Amino acid sequence: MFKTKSKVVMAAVTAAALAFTIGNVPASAASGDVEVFSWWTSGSESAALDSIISAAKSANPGMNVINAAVAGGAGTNAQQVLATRIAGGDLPELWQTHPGGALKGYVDQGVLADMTSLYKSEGWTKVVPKELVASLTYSGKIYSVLTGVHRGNTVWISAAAQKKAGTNLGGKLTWSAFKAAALKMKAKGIAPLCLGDKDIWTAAQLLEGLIVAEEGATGWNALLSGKKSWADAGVKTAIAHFNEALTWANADHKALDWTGAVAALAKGTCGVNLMGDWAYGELLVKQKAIDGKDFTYGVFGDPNVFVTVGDSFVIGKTAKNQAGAIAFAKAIMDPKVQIAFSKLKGSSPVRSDVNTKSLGKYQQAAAKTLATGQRIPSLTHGQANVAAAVSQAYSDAVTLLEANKDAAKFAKALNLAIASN
Amino acid sequence: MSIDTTQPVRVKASKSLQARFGARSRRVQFILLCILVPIFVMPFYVMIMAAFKTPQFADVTTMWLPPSPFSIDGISEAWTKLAPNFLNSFLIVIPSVALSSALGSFNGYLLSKFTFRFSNVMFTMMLVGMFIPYQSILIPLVKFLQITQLYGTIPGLVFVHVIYGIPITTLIFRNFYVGIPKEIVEAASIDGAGILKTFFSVIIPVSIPGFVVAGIFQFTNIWNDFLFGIVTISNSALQPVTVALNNLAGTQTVNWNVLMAGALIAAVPTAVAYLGLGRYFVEGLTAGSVK
Amino acid sequence: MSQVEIRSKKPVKSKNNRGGDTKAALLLLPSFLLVCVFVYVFIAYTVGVSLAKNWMPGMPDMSQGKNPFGTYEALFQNPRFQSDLRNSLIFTILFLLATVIAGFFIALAVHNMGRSKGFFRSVFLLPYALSFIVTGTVWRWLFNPDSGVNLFLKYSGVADMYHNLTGQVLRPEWLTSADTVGDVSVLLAKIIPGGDFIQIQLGIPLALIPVVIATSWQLLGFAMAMFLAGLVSIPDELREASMMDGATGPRYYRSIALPMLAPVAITTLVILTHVALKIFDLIYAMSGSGIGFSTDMPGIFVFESMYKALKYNTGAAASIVMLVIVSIIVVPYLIRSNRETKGH
Repeated sequence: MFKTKSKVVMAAVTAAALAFTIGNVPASAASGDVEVFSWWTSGSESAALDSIISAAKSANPGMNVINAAVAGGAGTNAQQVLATRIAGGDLPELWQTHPGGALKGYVDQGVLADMTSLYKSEGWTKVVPKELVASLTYSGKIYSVLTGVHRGNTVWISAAAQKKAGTNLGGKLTWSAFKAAALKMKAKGIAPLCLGDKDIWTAAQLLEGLIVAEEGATGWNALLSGKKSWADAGVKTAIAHFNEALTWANADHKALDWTGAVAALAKGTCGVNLMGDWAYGELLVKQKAIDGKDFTYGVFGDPNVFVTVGDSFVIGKTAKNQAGAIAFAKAIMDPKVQIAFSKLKGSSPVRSDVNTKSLGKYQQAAAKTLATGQRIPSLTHGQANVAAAVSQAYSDAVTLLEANKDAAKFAKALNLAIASN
Repeated sequence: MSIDTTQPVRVKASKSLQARFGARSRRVQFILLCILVPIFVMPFYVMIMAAFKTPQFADVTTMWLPPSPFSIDGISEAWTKLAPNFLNSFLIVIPSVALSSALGSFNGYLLSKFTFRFSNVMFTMMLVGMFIPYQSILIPLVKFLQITQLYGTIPGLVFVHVIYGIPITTLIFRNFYVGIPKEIVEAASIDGAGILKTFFSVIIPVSIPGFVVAGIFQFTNIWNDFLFGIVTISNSALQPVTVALNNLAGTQTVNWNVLMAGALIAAVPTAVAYLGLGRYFVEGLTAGSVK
Repeated sequence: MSQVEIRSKKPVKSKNNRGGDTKAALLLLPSFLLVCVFVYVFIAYTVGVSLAKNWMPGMPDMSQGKNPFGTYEALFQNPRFQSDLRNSLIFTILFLLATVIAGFFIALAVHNMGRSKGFFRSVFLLPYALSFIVTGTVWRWLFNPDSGVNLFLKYSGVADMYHNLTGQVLRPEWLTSADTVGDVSVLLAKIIPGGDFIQIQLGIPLALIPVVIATSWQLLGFAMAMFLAGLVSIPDELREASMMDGATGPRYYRSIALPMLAPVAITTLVILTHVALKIFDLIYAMSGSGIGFSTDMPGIFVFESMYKALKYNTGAAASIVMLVIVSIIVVPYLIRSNRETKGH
């Protein structure tokens, strides 16, 4: 009789243990190979990724992290490889993606593991801003974890250029103030706008920042959801500003990439550069510029509006080492790792409950705005909850707009893209 | 007419050269070539300068200036990141070049010296199909490799390169062999040699320029291949050097000094291959084959 | 000494040959079948994807929507794809002209050199050894209108001369130029019914010129190598005989060497056309899609459609369109040239 009873107890305990398995795996339990597929291959990106990997390995001594990475094309090269692996059923444990359209693509193909219970058991839904969680959620299920969030509408301002032109831009930038300063800079032979748009996304990002400045957070969301037409007056004004700003850009902007523009800003040969805050790392590390001394920053329009450019990782549904993948995901969201990663990458930690005092001045401000401000997704970087094809249509429309300056054609293209996708 | 296929006699090059062009036109040509040399070398100058600069100064605005400060960080970092993949590239390139050239020369021989009914159609079909952008056939290709267990392996990548190299090597050799008098082949078959024996004893000895250009083309093509490399092999330990070179660039930030240094380092084997193959651009290889 | 016949004659089919011909066909079959599978079967798959409504790698659904050809229709009305077709045509023509002609003359000159032959051969061939990704970047730097080759124009005094002559500043915009030279689209719109679907300028985008220069720089060595191979394999008997007949210098080249180099020229043309039509890495690194798609190419479009916009049917359709267009042009040419160059 005792034997049967103990057997039952054993079974009950095992069942209970199994029931708690998903999301409650003890940190030391994960072992084996975990393949992490990303497009972070060099410099600050790979250093930041390494901070996650070493944290995951120290929390899971038996884990072997395979760092598979393919650079280039803002992740398009990696997507190329990923597509073949998905088609072949050979999924890595984790891979990098953007919240929004790209993530949705994977969800639709049914290749992602559901992380909802993990979020709940770890309490992440409480500390991650709700718009961000929403961008990772489809049909009520959460599919991804964010490593950090960059701000896509920061305007970096060259101190040397301001000194030479006698201007004082910073904080909230109204168009009239910017225009006045631009004309002063131009008079001194400084290109008011730093732009490096050999890759069109930099110009697309600039236009996005200007549209957001005119339309505000609610207006932007309405544009993305199709509720508002892109022929709206606010967009028209933003396009007019964009066309005007292009006349103030450095003459070789079409032949420079974004780092060339940042370099020019650091040298003071041009005035301002609207760029995501990965430029912060570029300024500090490569250009050896000093925050506050060599450059300051501002925002077009409401400084409380934070355009999010997040990087996230997903778990392959049929990947071999699910436990290992989950352990890695936990490492990503670990508060210490969030800070270590942010320090190296230049992004803001996605958790609002971490202590940002050890981050740089700019980063502390950005993290604060992320936690307390209005968060909207970047269309340029495919973060919005629209199909990836819409982001592509936006880039193509900006390419044409730069050449033909036609706001009506732009509006038509975007309305069509949103309606048909 | 007797055929001596054992030893091609090398006619003294100088005699024919002098007869072809006077010394004066040669001098003019020499001067023109010398003018072109700096134009061709200019990009290399920029690359070498950039390779020895620090990341901050390896930049478009200072491209002409010599490095100051001088730094070998670019070279050492590039070498560290590229060296592990060099062996892979050799393991991939050498069999691929050898196999695709061998098959190409054999196919070229068949297509140029024999007249069977569909030879023209087959040849054209082999050539036209390769005009499709390879990005669109990646997925069925990978599926095939997975089914045949070749996925993720270096032999698998060699297989891919050989298949996609056959049309062009066949073209190179076939159009090269049409210049060889058919009498040679017919004489050999009169002597009783079959297709294969004729190929090895008559065709191969005079194919050297063909192998040189096929070798140059295939070595370059396969060594610099990126697309098949990343898609066929996901294990970075087995990937070719081009993939590692691409990854030097990073996705957001680029250290140009490292990338330029890496590009120069990655080009060395190919450059050496050119030097080795270029020696065979010698005249008179087909001399004496028909007396 | 008998004159060596170099005009092609029909091959004599001996009794021995017939058996050999069939055997040859069988020996060719393995290569042919391999290519058929790896190219044509995959192309068929791609056609399927292009007609499918919602094909994705994880959900390979080949089912077609109401209008399977809608993808193709949208493609031809897309100003980006229209630009790609125009750019591809112009780039290919300019690139072939530059590379083949320059490669030929450089090969002739190098062939004539004595001890410096090896040096020149190496210098001109060396660019070919570099990866396209990096050469694209280097030439982007070189064509920067403020810090690149324009500086030579400034410091050599050519810019000053130009300014004195015309009163204008000589500062070519190269890649940053948005200009298109010669626009026949208005004309075409009148001729072709419904021709107003052409939304782009049908001229030569000036931004393509630096791209042509960069690609020619890289491939010229290969064209030179091809012609060198052709030159060294002209049978010595021909050279000796022509010398005896008094055909030296330019006459030798025009009437004897050139016809013998025809097959090599054809090979070079086909290979370089292949390179030009599929060009991707170099342009992607050099100028991206260019201002107003002035340097966009079908290869870039396919890449971005499939792997960025995740519209696999659009990318597949673009690939098929390119293949069909190329086949229409290349196939008749190949069949004709194959027939002509055979049977020496």
